Amino acid sequence: MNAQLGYYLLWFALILSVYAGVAAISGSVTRDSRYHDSAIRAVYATFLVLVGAAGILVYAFLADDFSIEYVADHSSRVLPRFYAATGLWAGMEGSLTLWSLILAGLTAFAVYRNRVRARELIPWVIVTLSVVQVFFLLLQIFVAGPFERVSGLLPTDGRGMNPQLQNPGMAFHPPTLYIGYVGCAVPFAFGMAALVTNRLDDLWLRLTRRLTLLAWLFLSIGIMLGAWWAYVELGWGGYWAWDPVENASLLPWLTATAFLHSAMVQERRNMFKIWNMLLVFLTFFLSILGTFLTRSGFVQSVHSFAASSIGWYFIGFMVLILVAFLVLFLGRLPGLRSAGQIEAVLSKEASFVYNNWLLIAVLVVMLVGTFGEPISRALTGVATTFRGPYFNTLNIPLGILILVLTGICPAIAWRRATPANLKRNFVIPLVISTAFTAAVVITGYALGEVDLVASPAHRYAVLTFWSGAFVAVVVGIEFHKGARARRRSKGGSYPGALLSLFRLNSRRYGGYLVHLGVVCMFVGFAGNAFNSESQHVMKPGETVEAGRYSLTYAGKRDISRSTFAGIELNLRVSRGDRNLGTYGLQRRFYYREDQTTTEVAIRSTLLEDLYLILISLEEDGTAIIKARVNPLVSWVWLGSGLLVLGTLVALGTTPAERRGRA
Amino acid sequence: MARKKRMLVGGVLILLVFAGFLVSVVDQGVGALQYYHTLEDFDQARRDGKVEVKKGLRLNGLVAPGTIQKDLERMQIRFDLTDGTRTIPVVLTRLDVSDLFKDNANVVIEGRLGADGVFVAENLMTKCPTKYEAAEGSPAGSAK
Repeated sequence: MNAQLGYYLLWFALILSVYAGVAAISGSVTRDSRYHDSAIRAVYATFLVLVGAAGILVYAFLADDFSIEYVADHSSRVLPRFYAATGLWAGMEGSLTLWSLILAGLTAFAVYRNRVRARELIPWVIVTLSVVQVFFLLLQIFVAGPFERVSGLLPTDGRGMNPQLQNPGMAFHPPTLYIGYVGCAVPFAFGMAALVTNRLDDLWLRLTRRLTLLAWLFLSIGIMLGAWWAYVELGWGGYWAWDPVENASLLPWLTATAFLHSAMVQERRNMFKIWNMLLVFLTFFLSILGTFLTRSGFVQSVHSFAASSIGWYFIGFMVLILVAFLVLFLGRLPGLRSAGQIEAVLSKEASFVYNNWLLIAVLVVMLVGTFGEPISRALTGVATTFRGPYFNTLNIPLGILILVLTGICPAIAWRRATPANLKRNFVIPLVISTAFTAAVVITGYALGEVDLVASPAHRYAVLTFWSGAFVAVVVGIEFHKGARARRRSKGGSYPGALLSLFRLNSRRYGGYLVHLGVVCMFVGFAGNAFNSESQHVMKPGETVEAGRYSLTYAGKRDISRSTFAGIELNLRVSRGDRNLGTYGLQRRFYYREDQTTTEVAIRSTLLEDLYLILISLEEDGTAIIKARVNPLVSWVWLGSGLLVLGTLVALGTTPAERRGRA
Repeated sequence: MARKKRMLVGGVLILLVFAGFLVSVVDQGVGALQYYHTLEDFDQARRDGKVEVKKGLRLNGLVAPGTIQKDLERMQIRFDLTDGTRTIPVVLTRLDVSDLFKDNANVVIEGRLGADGVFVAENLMTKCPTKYEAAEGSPAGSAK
C-alpha cells in the first residue's frame, strides 16, 4: 500500500519536473510571467512530493515493512532504529531517491533565493536542473525502483545492514557526500543559464558563490567522514587507499577547488571566463561520473557492486550533458573572451593559474589511475590496475607544490609582484620555516626517526613540513597585519581586533583558516612516511614490543550480545615506565548478517596513534595482533575541523553585503 | 602579444615536463599491476609471454576449499587459488586478512609469481558478497 503510494509520488515528481522545465521555457520564450511563476511553483512542489516519497521509504524502514524489497535487503527487526532510518542510503535504490530529494531541495532553495535578482536566469536554471532531476527519477521508476515489492513469499525479517555501516561516521558520510555532489549541479545550472541568456558577466558567479562553497564544504566533509570511518571502522590501519570509489569523490572536489579560486580572479579582474565555465561544467560532470563509478561496477573497486545495466543509462546521460554544454559553450566562446590578461608571471593572478594547473594535473593523474584499468584492457587486452605507489609517486610532489602556492598566493601582489613586495612578504616566512625544518630534521636524526638519504618518503615529508611551516607563517603574518591595522584605526584589544577580521572580511580570513586547515592535513599526510607496522603472536601473559610501546596480553573476555558473538582481547600498553592503560581489541560475528568485523583500539595523541588490531584469537588462547604506529594522524582530523570552520566563516556575509541588504 | 607568446611557450614546456613525468611513472610500472580477472586469462597470457616482469600481478580466483594453512611462526598464510580447473599455490606474507577470507571465497591477490611457481602475495582482498552493498561513496573494503 505504502509502496504503491511511494511509486506514484515518484511518477508525480517526474511529471512536475517535466512540467517545470517546459513551463520555464515557455515563460522565457513568450515572456508570459504566468508560465514563469508556474514553473517556479512546480519546482517547489517537486521538492514537497519528493519529501513525501523519501519519507515513505524511511517510514517503511522504521516500521519494518519487509514487503518492500529494498527495505528487506538493508534492514532487520533487531537493527537499532537510528541505523534503520539511515537505510534510505544504505543501497543504490534509496540513494537515488536521496539524490533526487537533495537536488529538488537545492533547486527550490536556489530558485527561491534568486527569483528576483536573477529573474532572467531562473528559467534556464530550472530547465537544466529539471533535466538532471528527470534523469534520476527515470532511473528510480524504470531501472532501480526503491519501492519494488518483494516477489514471492513475504519475508518475516530483513537481511540486515552491513555491520560496518552501523557507525555514526558511516551514517552521515553518504548523505553529506551527496549534498556535495548534487550541490555541484546548481552552479553548473547557473552557468548554463548564463550561456543561454548571454549574460556572460560575473552575475552567475556572484549568485552561486555561496552555494558553490557550500557544495564544496559538504564534499570535503563527506570525504573526510569517509576517511575517518575507514580509519576507525575498517581496521586496516589507514584512512585512504586510492580506491576508485574514494578517487571518485576527490575528482569533483579538485575541480571545485580550482573553480573557487579562479572565480575570485574573474570577480576581481574579469579574467578566466572561459576557464571558469569549463571548470563549473567539469565539476558537475565529475560529480555525475562519481555517482556512476560507485554504482556501475565499471571500474573494479574493492567493494565493487555487481555490474548492472544502470551504467549505460549514466553513460547516455553524461554524453547528453556533454553535448548540450559543448554546443552552448562553443557558440558563446567569442563573448567569453576576457578583457584582462595576466601581466606578469609573478603576480596573484599567475599564482591562481598555477594553482589551477596543479589541481588539474592531480585530476589527470587521478583519471589515468582510476580509468587506467578499463582503458588498458581496451587498448592492449591486458588490464593494468594502478595502486597506491602510482598515485603517491605523482601526487605527492604535485601536492607539495600546491601547498607552497597556498603560502605564496595570499601575500603576493595583484598584477605584478615587485622585488620589494616579494622581499617584504616572503623573507621572514622563508627564514622561520627553514629554521623550523632544520630543527625538525636535527631532532629527527637525533632520535633515529628521520633518514633523508635512505628514504625518499622522508625527504617528501620534510619538504611538506617546510612548506607547511612557510604557509603557516605567511598566514600568521597576514592575520597579524590585519589585526594591527584594525587596532590602529579602531583601538580595542589585539584578540578582539583579530576576531573582528573574520567579521569584516569573512571571505579572506575564512579562506586563510581553510589554508591553515590544509596545512595541518598535509602535516598529517606526511606522517605516513614514518608509519611502522608489526605483527605479533602472543600467549596469555606475554609481552611484546611494538616501536617504543610494550604490549602485554592481560586477558580476554566474552562480549557477545543478542545480535553478535564477540570476543575482546585486553592489552596493557606501556611506554618506558609509563602505564598507558588497557585497551580492548574486539572481533564480532554478526549472526543475522553472517559477517565478522574487527573493532580496533586506537590510542591517539597529537604526535602519533597506536593502532591495535586483533587479527585472530586461536582456540588455545593464542592471539595474533597487528600493531601500527601512525605518526601525526590526529593532524588530519584537526585540519579537517579547521577547514570546516574556515569555510563556515567564509560563508558569512561581509559588512558591504549586510549594508546592501538593509 | 610577445608576453602572451612567452607565457604560452612556458605553459607548453611545463605541460611537457608533467606529461613526461606521468609517462615515465606509468612506463616504469610504478604501482601498476597487471590484472587478470580469471586464471584462464592468466594462463593464456603466460603462454603468450605477455606477463611483464616489472609489473606486479593481480589475480582473481577462489580459495580452494581445505587449503588454507596459517603459519604463525613465519606469519604467513598458504592456500591454493583456483577456478575449478587450474590451481596456483599462494603464500600470503601477512596474517591479517578480511573476515570474509575462507574456503571458496572470491579473492583478489596482489604480488609476484616466484620462479618456483608459487605466487607470493602481499595483499589479499575479498570481494564483498553480492548480497551486501556498501553504501556508495564509501571507501569500504579492506584495501591494504
